[in-house]
Amino acid sequence: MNPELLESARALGATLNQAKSVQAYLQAKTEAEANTESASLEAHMLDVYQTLTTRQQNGEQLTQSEVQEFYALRNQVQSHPLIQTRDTALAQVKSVFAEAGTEITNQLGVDFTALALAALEE
Amino acid sequence: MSTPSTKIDLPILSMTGDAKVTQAAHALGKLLAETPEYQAFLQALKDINHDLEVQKLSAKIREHDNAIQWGRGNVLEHQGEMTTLQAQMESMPLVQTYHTSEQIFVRLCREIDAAISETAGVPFAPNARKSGCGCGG
Repeated sequence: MNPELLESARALGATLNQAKSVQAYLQAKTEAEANTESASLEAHMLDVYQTLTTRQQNGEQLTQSEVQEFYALRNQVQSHPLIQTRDTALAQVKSVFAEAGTEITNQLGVDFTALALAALEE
Repeated sequence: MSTPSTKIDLPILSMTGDAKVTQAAHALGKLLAETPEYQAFLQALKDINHDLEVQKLSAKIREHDNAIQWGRGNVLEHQGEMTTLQAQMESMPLVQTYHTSEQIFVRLCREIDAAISETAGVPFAPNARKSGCGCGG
């Protein structure tokens, strides 16, 4: 990548980092991760999710109660105040990032974020 | 006599956070549009869009696809025809050039995304998508 382009990408990153919404999100994320209760609750939910999806991928049929238990756990995680704060902050970040992505896309005429996320052919 | 204001109005400093983001994104998009990788990709895209053979093959593929959608004829036959036509199209040098230029440009976009994300402290592209899931990382 040419240095001017790299510098411009970093400049955008730095501007985004200084945005109030990003600072609020990073702060909320740190707090949610530092809190034992919210961190362990979320880690547990991810563990359960991983186990259930692996079983499903292996052709196993999940019981209704297992699915309901997972949804209850997810609700518990999502209603934790620190996680709620973090997720609300992330929604604000996404709005700012989407505007930045659209601005790049407008200059190109092709979807920048879609291309950045596209898988490379081996 | 009023005291002259000592405040110097520098547009960049008086911008709101969002305006700064828009300006930085605009500048990056402009630079990216000037790169040889993007220009090659754009040219290859124009070339395939203007090629009569590609247009003809695309139209035939669409016909088979429509037939499947509307339940006309034999699905397997339509799918077989589509596979043949797609293979025919993919073998065209023009289309191969397009795919190559697209891969090169995708690689550059990913590098740019990585640079933005690293400095921002939050993954950029997954969170900049208009819809779908983007984990905050």
